[in-house]
Amino acid sequence: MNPPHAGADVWEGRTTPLSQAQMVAGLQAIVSPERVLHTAAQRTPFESDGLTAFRERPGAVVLVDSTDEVVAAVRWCHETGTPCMARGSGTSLSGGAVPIPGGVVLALNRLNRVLDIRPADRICRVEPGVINLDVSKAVATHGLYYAPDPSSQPICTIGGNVAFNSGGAHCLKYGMTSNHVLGMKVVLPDGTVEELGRDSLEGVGPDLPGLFVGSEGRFGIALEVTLRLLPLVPSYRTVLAAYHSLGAAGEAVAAIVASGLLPGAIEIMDSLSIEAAEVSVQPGYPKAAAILIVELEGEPVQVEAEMVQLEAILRESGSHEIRPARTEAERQLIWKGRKSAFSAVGRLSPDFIVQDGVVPRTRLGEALEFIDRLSTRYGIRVANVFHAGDGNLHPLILYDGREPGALHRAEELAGEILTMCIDMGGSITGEHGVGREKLAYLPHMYTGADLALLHDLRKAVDPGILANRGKMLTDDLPSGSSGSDAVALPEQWPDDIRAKVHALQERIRSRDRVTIRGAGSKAVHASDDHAEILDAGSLTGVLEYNPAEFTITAFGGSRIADIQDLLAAEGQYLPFDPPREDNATLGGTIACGLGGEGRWRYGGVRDFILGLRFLDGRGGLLYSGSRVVKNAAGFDLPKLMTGSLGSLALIVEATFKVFPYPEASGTVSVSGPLSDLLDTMAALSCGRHEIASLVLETAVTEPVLHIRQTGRADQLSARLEDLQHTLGGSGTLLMEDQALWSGMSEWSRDRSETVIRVPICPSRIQELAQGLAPLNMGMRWGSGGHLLWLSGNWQDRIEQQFAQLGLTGVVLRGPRAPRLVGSWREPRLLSRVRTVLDPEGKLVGGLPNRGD
Amino acid sequence: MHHSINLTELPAAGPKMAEAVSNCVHCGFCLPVCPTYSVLGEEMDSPRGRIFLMKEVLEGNLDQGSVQPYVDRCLGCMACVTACPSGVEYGELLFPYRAEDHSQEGSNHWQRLRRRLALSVLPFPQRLRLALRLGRWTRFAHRLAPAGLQPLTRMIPERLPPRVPQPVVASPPGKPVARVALLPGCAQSVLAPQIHADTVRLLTANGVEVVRPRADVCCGSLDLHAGEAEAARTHARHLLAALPTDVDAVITNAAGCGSGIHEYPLLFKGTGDEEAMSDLARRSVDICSFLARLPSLTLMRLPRPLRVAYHDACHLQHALKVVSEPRTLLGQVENLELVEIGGDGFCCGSAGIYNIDHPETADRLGAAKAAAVADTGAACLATGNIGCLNQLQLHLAGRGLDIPVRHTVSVLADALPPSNGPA
Repeated sequence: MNPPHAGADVWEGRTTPLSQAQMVAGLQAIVSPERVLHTAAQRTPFESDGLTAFRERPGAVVLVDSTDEVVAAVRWCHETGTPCMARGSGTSLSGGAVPIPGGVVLALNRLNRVLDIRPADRICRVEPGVINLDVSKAVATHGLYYAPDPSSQPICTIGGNVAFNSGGAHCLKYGMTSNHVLGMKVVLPDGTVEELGRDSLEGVGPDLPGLFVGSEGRFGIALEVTLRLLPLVPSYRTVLAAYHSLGAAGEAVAAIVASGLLPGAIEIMDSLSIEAAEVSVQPGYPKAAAILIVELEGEPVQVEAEMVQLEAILRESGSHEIRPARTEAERQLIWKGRKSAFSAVGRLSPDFIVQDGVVPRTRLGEALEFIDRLSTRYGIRVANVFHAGDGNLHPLILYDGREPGALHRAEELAGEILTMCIDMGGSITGEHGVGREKLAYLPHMYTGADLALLHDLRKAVDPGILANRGKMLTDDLPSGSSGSDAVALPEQWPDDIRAKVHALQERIRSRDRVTIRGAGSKAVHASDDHAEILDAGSLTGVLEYNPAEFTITAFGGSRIADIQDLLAAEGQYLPFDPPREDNATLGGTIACGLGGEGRWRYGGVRDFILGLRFLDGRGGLLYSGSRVVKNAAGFDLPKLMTGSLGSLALIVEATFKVFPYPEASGTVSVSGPLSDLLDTMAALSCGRHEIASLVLETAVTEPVLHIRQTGRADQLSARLEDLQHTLGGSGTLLMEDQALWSGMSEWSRDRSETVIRVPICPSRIQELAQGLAPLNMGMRWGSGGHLLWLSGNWQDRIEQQFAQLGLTGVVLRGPRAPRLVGSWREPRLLSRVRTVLDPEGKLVGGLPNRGD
Repeated sequence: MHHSINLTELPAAGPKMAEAVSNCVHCGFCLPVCPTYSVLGEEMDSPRGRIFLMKEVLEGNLDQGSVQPYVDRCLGCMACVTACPSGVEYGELLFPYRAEDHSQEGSNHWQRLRRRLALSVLPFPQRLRLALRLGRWTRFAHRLAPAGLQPLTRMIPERLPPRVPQPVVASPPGKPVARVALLPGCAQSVLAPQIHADTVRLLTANGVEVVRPRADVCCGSLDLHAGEAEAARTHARHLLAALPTDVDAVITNAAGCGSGIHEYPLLFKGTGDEEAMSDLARRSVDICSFLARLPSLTLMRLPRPLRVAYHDACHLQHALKVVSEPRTLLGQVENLELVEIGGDGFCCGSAGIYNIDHPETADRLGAAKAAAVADTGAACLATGNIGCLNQLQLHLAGRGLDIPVRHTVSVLADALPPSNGPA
């Protein structure tokens, strides 16, 4: 089981039909000639990215100066059948930016403008060549930053981050790139330019930015990216703890997680990587078999209290040296050592392979022992650096490329590690992507129909195999295999579920049109009288819940209330805070993309969904994603299904990431004129107070802003007092605030009322409040002002009003609910996806029917 | 990075060159600190791209001439060395490579002429003085100078500063705490002789005896950094012969010279002079490093409050790693407010004769640096290298700014007690 070495045989033997001279001439007609690099000396430095084991020479490299040039070049490639690939800074560690032999490289590093910063909306829009760290630099004056922090953040570009769903040390709490990309303008491989997503934290319709991020360039090139920003962390406490064994450090991680703390980062480095970092940047790490780096972040009083708890845990865990960073400079030095580790290993060995596997966090110790045994057996040194909080391993396999066969043996060892990750129920990549390097391993993680589905999606979007050909997918499977074969139902399922799912499959296959229904909490009646109703609400039960892993897997019909109760018993919760109203199901919550007010702090459904098993419009049972908290392998279909409103799939089983439940909560409510409250919201959005929920009510006599804080019980009063102080002493404080907030998630008490959920951005509140006033409906501005809840009597002019204001919403309750309403235009990317998942247009859901 | 460089075909520096290639992991951490990558935005003009290209030439896969423009455009600022987590000694690849590169493809004839003029005049004080006198007419009739020569002629000052005679031995009032030789310097002794005078004053005021070498010779760094290895060796041998041996240290006050001397061991690798040159490199020390190491310093105070920005000369910062010492010294001066220059921390574009070789890139860097200096609101700019000094003076003046650019030692010398008298 070795990765392929040659590149030429991985895509059906296709190469560009043009000679190099023709290619250069064609491109020179699009961009100024000197920016079409074509000599050997010009092309050679582009042959590799951050993984030098792979090298391919492109036919030409275009230094594009505008997104228009990107579009023109992609169109030209489409017309001439020339494969092409975008490249930012070329820092991929999976060979994701290795050129297509003889193809075109579009160098996007000059597209480095930050186009728009909107602090009140906590977003910014950037070109793809903007460097990750430069985003944070650009928005720092507004009190904001961009959270994903790959080690290469001083040089890697947002475009590359988008393509490979890059992670970093701080993913545990805030997720990866896909959790921070809200919208984008993209060019598809056929030259179509379209917008995906929007300038709101909330989505509507299937999550297309979620699908595009991590697609490794196979769906096209991002031209502009709208990023979610977070308020600058008010205070950090970072601590180094030294251990005599890797195992002891691993156990400390388990203890930290079990304690209910939620650190921003938990990292481990072993002795070899400590040694390398020490030689490289002298971070002054203690001498140890392993060091643990834990970073707490948040409001100072809370962090100080957590630090006391953390130090006690670390002492208990047998650390022989605990060294907290005393100054910001010391903290930076700790991170400098950690983030230089990959490159620093270059001092220990002329060549190395960086691996990127993920295992369930509770099996870290086992995984490390296995790697250690492999290292001994192969006689190859392996340095370990990893995001322990996520179970994301980065074994660095050291070899000397000058020794015959050394690379091959190193790759064999790497392969065994990846196989181990799959066997343990993990992933072959947490954040580097499949790229070229792990091509041979994706078919081990996704098999049969699941793998074929990825191929089918790629083919539907890029039939010419032009976009970053030969990455992630080998492009050599026969088509049409994802839906046709009967797939054995998982053995671990209870018999009744197997029977029910089998019956559902049969119904989908035998009927012309079907409509999915969970517990009926949202739909008032079916949207199509001719469609047969599929009852997904009886697929109930929890398949797997391991609190130490922060993950839960349950069937789609499971009631949200049951799941929440189960989690609460272990002190955990679904951080997107889904409404438990009526009999809301997990599947319905995903299909409607429905989070509650708690989503302001950490994110929505899309940000916590990890894996999904579903039935598509062909009745095929398919799986995508994984059961571990970090995964960047394959297209992210779990995200796509968020907001799909029953039009793409029937959700059978889903895996979510969960968090420790905050001990206590309290709410400050302030009232006043709308404009004053909007100013307050804007200030709080970029401020130093950690806010869990932020809701503006305008349906009452005087507008009220509810500000909720959650956290440790012993510090909460002080924090709320501080918050009130910031607000000028105004506002009323409510410590027993559960009733207030569960009321918020009940949309409207009157069951006959129509309820519409509309993603917006806070800067539009004033305008929309006026523009929608004629509808005479109740308005509540939730999710920090990113979501408008409209409730009242259904009126046909809603459609017209929405279209005028450029709004798209989801009718959650009301005529033909749930469905989209407003100015929705289906992106071509989604249309292509629907031809694969539902070729005959059987699924009648909340999206406009296919062909309508 | 894996390579198949055949060491037997390389000069004595070959193993060091191959080691630099081998240590590079192509991670790209050098890209954001590279001035030419920032300005030009192409992989060939980045440190890792150049390493890739030089490797390919050394392996015989690429023709040296085709690669020359990109290697040539490197400023040699060594910012990449500071940024590199893998410990690539880029200079140990670049300078020997340049020394072996005799291809001229890619540079036009004006560029070649400018370079030849610069290298045959700048290192020789008498020639330089004569050339500047002859060249002065071009300042008054700038258009008369051929456009291709203007990058050179515009550097010519309006008038030459008067010579400042140096005593053979300058002694401090009391018993000397140390005895040092001061590197004579070539272009600097003509263009800014005050720097030497101020250096001597600073040293003697702090109890150090300063010996003048037997001849005004160049150390060869300009040639070395421009890839003229043989000329550099000749200069270096002359320098070695001219330096007294009975001194505790050889003081340099030009960053490029200091770093050049530290490259002598590699330049002379495998020759009979290797050991003597290594010894010289060990004894050579930058003026600020030397002063900062003295057990105590004379109290320094400026007569009037002055806000001073300090510019890191690349060869001081990245090659010699002298970063904190000048700041510490300036920080000790009463009435002096030291401010940092913001921006990207790039090279100012001077880089030896780079501003003569590649005026367009140098101008962009110079203008950006001048803008960053302006933002500090400083009334004076201090730096430790004559090249930076001239480049920044040119670009600050270009922005219409009257901010004097002075050598760090001159600013410090101004703060000496009056008893040490004006030079």
